Amino acid sequence: MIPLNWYLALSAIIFSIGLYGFISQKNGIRILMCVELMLNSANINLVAFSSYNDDMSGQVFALFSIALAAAEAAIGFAIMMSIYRMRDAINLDELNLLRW
Amino acid sequence: MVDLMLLAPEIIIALTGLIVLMIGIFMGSSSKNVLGYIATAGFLAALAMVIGNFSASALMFSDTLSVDPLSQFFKLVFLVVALIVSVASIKYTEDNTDTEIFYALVLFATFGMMFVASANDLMVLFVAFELASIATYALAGFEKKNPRSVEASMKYLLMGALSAALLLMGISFVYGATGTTSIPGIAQNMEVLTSNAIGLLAIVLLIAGFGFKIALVPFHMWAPDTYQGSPSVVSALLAAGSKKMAFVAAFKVFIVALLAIQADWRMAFAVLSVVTMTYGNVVALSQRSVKRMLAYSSVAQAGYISMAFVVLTPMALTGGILYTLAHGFMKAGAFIATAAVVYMVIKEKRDTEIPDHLDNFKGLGKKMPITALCLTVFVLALAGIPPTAGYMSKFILFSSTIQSGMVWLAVIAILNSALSLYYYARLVRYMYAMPHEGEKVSEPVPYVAALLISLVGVLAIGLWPEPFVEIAMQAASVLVGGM
Amino acid sequence: MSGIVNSDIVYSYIPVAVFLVVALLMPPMTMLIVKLLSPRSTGAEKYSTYESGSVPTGPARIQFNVEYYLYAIAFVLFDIEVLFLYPWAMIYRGNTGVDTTVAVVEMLVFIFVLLFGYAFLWKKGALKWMKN
Repeated sequence: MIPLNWYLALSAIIFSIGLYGFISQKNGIRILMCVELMLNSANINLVAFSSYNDDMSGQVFALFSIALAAAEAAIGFAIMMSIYRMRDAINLDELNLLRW
Repeated sequence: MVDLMLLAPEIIIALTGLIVLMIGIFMGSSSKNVLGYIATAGFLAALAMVIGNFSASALMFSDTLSVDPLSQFFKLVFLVVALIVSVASIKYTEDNTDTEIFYALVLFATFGMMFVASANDLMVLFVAFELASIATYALAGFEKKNPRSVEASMKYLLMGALSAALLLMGISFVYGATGTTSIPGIAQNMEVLTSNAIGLLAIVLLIAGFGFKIALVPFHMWAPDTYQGSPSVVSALLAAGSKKMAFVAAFKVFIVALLAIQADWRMAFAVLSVVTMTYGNVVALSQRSVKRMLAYSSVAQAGYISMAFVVLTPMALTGGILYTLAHGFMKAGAFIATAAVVYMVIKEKRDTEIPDHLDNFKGLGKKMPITALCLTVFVLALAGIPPTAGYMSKFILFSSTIQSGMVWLAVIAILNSALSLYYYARLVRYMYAMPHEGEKVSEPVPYVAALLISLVGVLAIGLWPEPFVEIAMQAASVLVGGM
Repeated sequence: MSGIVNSDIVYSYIPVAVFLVVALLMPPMTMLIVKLLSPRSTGAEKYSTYESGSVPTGPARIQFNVEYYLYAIAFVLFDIEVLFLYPWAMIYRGNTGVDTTVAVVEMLVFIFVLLFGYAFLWKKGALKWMKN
């Protein structure tokens, strides 16, 4: 059996990649993809813990979070599409109407 | 078999949402104004069911839902805010072709918030949290053709998605260490977390995750943009409803589930609370857009409510919980008042890029007397002037802070309240001491009705606080039951 | 790192390593064999785009209709919702002591709510490929 730490390390690495991308990327779609990475790294955690604790609820939680991630992505793309229709770009640097 | 009567408010809200959606799409584009009344009736019915079962207490669905005074109190907060928003939106969505989507989303968002309030399991809590969040992302961008609204929605969505990811990561560590997602179950297995660095990691992730939704200071950057850009009625729902949902979730997760490692998170909340209230008030001083000013004031108010996590005595929790109800009335009312002003600006076709600019509030006392009067009461309540809801809740919160020996925290909070009086008073001065342009405007009935509901709430808690303090104490006793 | 090398896990991954090596070697080898054995012709027709036999028209990099993304989003959402049927079915058929009547009613409620989403999409015209 693969030790639990390996799974945790994998999920930590994926989470960090996602967080780094979230901070550094300018394109809205890429940022959403980075959020998906972070959510999925949490899913790896949940499933790994579920397997090691011998408790099913972690896997069910992962199913719910996959469904929620899909819903979030759907609404995200819908919002980005309406931005794209308005300005032909989804570069977040150009979203600067609201500032102090 | 579960007692479905206790779930009746949620069921009513969900069914009303589905009915509104179906009536809307099958009715064609004519006379969609009726939908607002249906939604309002749904909220009223659910409110009646919550008040009727106020002292109920039960566990349902394999202990994943808990109906107790805490959940009933917060359901009351959410339903009242949603009712105010729904009444005001009758005017806002007038002649709109997408009215059914607006009301269905408001209803579903409220449904999610209510489930967060009664969640007894992290799985239910997370799913309900996301249901409410996703519905409000779409609401923030409801004006699809307005670049500000869409931008607000985009910023809200990205920050909300990040907070969901952080939250899920934190929950996964809590689950991994304790082997359960049930909130009381986590509290029972806490010795694993106290002896392990995983507890600290989980706390950092959870504070960041909830901090984004509450808009605590390092995580607040989306809030001013989103509250300013969204339609005013939606800003009211976000500031008064969605933020309270994050508070009840944080109350449950930190105070009930993670009480054993309170030494770690109390310190973090102490720092965050001080930074949040100071930053919010200082930045609000220089705002010219009233919605943005209210947004920063809402950030500051989140700092006050977070003091409950630091003090952690039953009285402080009562104050914090009462503050959420009071803030719900005050902030929802204030945003609805700006909605009325924006309506006036659009109607007069004034050439302005920011319709809620402070200059448009000049002489409002003469132009829109009811709106101006209500807004004056709301901002004075936000500053904590007696006899309003803001004064009562601040009094309980601050005095309990002093009683527990944290005088420094109370002093900072009181200084902040004094500071906030400056920008609230400036708004009042603009409304009453400045000359007005144009003629008197007839105020739309739905806005006035929503404003009066909030006004009654604000004054009732201020003048007759005993019943409200009583139910807030019952709610707080659920939280401190495990202490 | 010696713990990792000496552990049983490494041995359990030997089949994977063998598979990896074979997978890396196979494609270049087959390509080499094809290159050596097959007959080749060099004509202008050979280098034109193959479009199922008809004469190719227009560039290949066209912008997709935005409707395509709406379809994709709707598909993903309904696809994901079906995910929940799987654990439900596992509980339903296993002897888990779950009251099957309750399970059926709960799943019917779930699907009933989904139907509203479907009706909404339908009436809003999101399922029509080309809106007139």
